[in-house]
Amino acid sequence: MSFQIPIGPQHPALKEPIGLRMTVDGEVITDADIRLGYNHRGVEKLAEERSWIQIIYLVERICGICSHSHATCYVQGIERLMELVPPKRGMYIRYLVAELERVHSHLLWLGVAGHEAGFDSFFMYVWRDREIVMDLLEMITGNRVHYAINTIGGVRRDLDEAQKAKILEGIATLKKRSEYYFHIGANEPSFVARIAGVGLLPLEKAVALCAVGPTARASGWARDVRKEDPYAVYDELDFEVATADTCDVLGRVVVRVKEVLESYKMIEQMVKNLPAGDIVVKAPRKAKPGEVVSRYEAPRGENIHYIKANGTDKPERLKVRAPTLGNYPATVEMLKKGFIADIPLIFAAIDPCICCAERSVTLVSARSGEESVVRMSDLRRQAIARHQNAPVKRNAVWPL
Amino acid sequence: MTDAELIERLKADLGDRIEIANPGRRRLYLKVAPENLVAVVTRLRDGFGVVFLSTISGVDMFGMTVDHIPDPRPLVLPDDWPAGNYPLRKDWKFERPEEVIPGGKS
Repeated sequence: MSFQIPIGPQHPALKEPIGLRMTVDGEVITDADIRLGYNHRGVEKLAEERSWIQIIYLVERICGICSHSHATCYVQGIERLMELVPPKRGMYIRYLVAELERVHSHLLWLGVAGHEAGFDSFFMYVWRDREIVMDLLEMITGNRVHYAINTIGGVRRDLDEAQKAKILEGIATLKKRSEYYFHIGANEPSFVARIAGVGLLPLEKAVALCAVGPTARASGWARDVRKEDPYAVYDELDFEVATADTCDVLGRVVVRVKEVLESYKMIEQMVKNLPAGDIVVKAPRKAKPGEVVSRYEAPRGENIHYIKANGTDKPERLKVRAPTLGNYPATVEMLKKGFIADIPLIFAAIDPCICCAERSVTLVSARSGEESVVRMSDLRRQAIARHQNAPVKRNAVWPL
Repeated sequence: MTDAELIERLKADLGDRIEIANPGRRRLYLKVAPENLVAVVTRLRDGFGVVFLSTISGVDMFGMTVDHIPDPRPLVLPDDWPAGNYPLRKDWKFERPEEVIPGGKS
């Protein structure tokens, strides 16, 4: 006997709106279906009517956690189209903010993971320390969330000596505290027992379903754009790609913990080796016709922006592939054979950013797997039946 | 598999239907003409095990016709999105439907 349980688009267990439909057999999930479209925002269409500079601030608003990822990915691409080379100092500041953002995003996630696993003191400790990063970001850029530090050809704000000292001081504190908390986390048997073995994603599945970011790395697949296709300053920095081979939520926690520590290392290197000079070069108003693909390792995985220029000051086309989107097929796989009670934990473990994925395009044949292979005629019949039964919602009136 | 081997295999498989650019290590760009897109994508899915999410969005956003999609429901657009509206087409313009307020505006 199997039941279908709808979760979302609004649900207390989910932090952002997404529709999930679980087919369960008792307590065990046998199939999962993910529906997007609840919160479609059409950013890509909007971008076609904005100038190159305006789009930076538009794409920055795709996400509230990894805002710098989208802005940087876009700016990297448009700089390549305009054949601009930003000054070294500007680049260092841009990617310094990128690594600080990764730290804040991962700390946020670790808190959420602790909370979902019922370890709320971990959540409170980690989020208290996340404030240190947020304060540093505010000091550097003037904002806590949408930093708006990128501009075409460099960055908008410079760093002075006092700020550099404050960053190093903050990172030293964070490093000490992080190591201590991570030691606590690793030695708290109930926490580890809760997350170990949950949401399994074997390596071959991760590869076949094209998982990205920490989700892929936790399955032992060392896939990181910063290492395999180093952009900007990353070939000058000394860091390692964090991986884990447990393929479960525990692995995903471990990968993010290791990454936070690697990011501290990178931040220290960048602050200490900050070159002198300008922070920005002047950018032309228009871009020559052409197209470019820009890749960026966001906290959640590989972020891809495709930009097509037609010679004016507006793009012909902008396409964003946010990392969360790449992780959905893998999530469906992770949910299968799991328990209902694990749904929030598994779902939180990919660090989903619905606002990134919902921005526009794409997703998922959520019914992946063999049982989903049906004939076209059957599909059509199902589709027609579904439409006949679907309630008319277009002109719905609020029942008073 | 190295980049060169992969390019070799892709060329043997897809011939002149694709244009391959390899601007950096582990970075392959395939350029496909619109009329070959569906054939190439199908081949990549069957022969190389590539998961294509973005292709399916073309159905929603551009009104492409693709056969054998396992799940024909709209992917990124809402379920009640009016049929025949493809928002990323250049000639598509958004018209806000008139607001229905029970009892009328006061």
